[in-house]
Amino acid sequence: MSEFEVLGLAPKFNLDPAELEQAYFAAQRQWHPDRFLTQSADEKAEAAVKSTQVNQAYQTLKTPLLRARSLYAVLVGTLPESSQSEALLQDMMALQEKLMEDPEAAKAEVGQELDNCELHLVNAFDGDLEAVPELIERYAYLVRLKG
Amino acid sequence: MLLQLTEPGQTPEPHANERKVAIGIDLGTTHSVVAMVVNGQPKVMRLEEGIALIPSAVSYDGKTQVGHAALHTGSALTSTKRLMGRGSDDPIVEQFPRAIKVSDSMVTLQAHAHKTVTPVEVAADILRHIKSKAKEALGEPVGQAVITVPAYFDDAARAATKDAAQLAGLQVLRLINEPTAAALAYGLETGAEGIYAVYDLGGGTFDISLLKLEKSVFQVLATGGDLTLGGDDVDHALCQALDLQPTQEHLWAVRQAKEALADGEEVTLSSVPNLKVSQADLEKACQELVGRTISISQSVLEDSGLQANQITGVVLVGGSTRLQAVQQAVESFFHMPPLTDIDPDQAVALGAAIQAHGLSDGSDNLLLDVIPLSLGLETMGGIVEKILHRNSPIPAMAKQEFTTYQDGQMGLLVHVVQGEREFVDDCRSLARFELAGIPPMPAGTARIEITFMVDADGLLTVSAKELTTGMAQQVEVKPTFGLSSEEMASMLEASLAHGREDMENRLLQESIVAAGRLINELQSALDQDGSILGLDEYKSLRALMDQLKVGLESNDRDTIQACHENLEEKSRNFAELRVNTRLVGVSGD
Repeated sequence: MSEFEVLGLAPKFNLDPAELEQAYFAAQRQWHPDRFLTQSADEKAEAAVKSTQVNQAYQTLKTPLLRARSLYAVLVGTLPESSQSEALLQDMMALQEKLMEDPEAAKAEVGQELDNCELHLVNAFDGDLEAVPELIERYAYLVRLKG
Repeated sequence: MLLQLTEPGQTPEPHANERKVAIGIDLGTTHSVVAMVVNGQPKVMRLEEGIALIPSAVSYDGKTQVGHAALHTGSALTSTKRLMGRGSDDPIVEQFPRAIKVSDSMVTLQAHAHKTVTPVEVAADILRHIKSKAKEALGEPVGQAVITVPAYFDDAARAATKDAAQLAGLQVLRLINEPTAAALAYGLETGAEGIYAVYDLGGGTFDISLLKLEKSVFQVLATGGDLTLGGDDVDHALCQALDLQPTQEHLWAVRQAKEALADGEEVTLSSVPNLKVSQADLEKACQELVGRTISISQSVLEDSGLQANQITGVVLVGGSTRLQAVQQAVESFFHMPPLTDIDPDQAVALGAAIQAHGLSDGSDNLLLDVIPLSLGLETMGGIVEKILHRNSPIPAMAKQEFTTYQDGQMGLLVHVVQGEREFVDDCRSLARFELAGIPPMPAGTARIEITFMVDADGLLTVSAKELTTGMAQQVEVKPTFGLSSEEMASMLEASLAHGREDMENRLLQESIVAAGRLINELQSALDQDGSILGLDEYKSLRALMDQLKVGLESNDRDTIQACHENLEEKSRNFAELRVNTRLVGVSGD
């Protein structure tokens, strides 16, 4: 079961945070262990598992990087593999250098790059799935650089 | 259910068996407060002389007393919540002159001359008192409760709290976090929506939680705190500033002065004549504490990814938020005056009562809480690998695969830790267990999956499984710092048949105290004047004394009394001899 299915959401990258939150609240209203305190042991156990899955799905979909990976798996059937892209490596090494020279400016640039990358991911998921793995990899690098 | 109270074949009254009154308990460091929902409204119960606040104090002089009665004895154990789940090397232990370090993981307290108690037992005695007082007030037994804990309580302290409730014969419907409980009470009372900060500074602990309040949903976004920060520390700092020893009497006096200064500029200390305390003294004593709470608030805000201007309101909870210095610091940090339209002493208990009612009768409210501290495992080189990150919503689960690093390695030592630091030594050790019997394989080929699960009470279970063979092992994470299950079982057994047991226990305790006194007196008499006895009599008294000491260990009142009487009778001659010799000695001077 994908994270999207757990929360009853249509699989898409450009997820409205408010929509995600409402789906999350609705699912927890149904499954949170607090609602099963007077039920049988079996029902309690099932609720505990479901409620945990709901929390995991919410945490995943809330984070752009994890959401992108999850969506790719839904659409393609496997997790994205490393692109081994030379260009990506060059870009990241350049950013790393800047971070050492002028951390303030480089941090701002990393933030900007993250926003750009997210936009590119939206487009790629809309029609250019082959471009997705490298973008995900780029996004992951950027998140790590941001610290 | 173990006990079926109705005759077989008879239909019980609807719910007569399983329906029990459920209350909310704020088990605080200095005070405990009890509340319950009556006709749909949460109400604080005034269980002690019409007062809502029950001092979290227990005394053990011959009989166990709790609350105001315990304080009046002058020998009560207080603030022991700060020791819940703590190991003996914890710095907080230094604040307890009556603490005894039993082992690395165990601290007990000297209750009186011949009795020691664990912090869990003290908490159990407070809960037992609350349970019986509530039964008196309601005319029916109370069996279930929601108990609040500081949001920042780690796994060991939560487990200890649950153990205490079990010892007191209370079924814990849920452990909930104090700031979350306060937010529930505040949100339902005012209909507030938006993002709220709950700043909770009590007697011994500080918590800050950021919550999203929206149509009966109370979602914790981030939480942080310090278990060793509270009003008690202000009292200690104030004593220091005034050059007073931190004795119980002085601490009590400065606490009263502190409370009086909530609406005054200067007061005189009750027990120390001519010593005045001014608002400025108090402010100075608070400075460090307040600064620490603000820097914790800052990091929680950063964790949540929010800016201070996105906060709708700040709710103050806990008696120490009455301090002017606290209110001013909070106002300047959040750029808004804090909300004080809820009683800071009662909000937590009211929230617990609402949740207790909701859990037993059903409700629309949804509390979504998080783990306060990251949970991880020790890996090579003493580095912590975090498995579940702080602020993950509960119930939570996470898995990680590990492998063996030696050819033919048969076991894997699993060390579970809690905390944010990178090295194991800087984190809290929760449990160690060994996954044994891994079939011999080349290094790096075994696949060991370790699963962390945190339930809705915030309690952790860790299991390990070797995937190629399916061999599994599961541990509930409490052995390191909580009670072992055998200790728990024997304590439970001891507290089962309560009323009778309590009475017998009291008589036993009295006989132990009396015997201890006799031994001490005789010991020093023999040391002083043993030479006036013949060798045989001296030896026989020594032997009888040893017999009584052995008898003490039996914990059997009849044995103790028999030995006691025997020794008393046989030592009468010695006592008379002593008096005579003394008299001769005195008159001869």
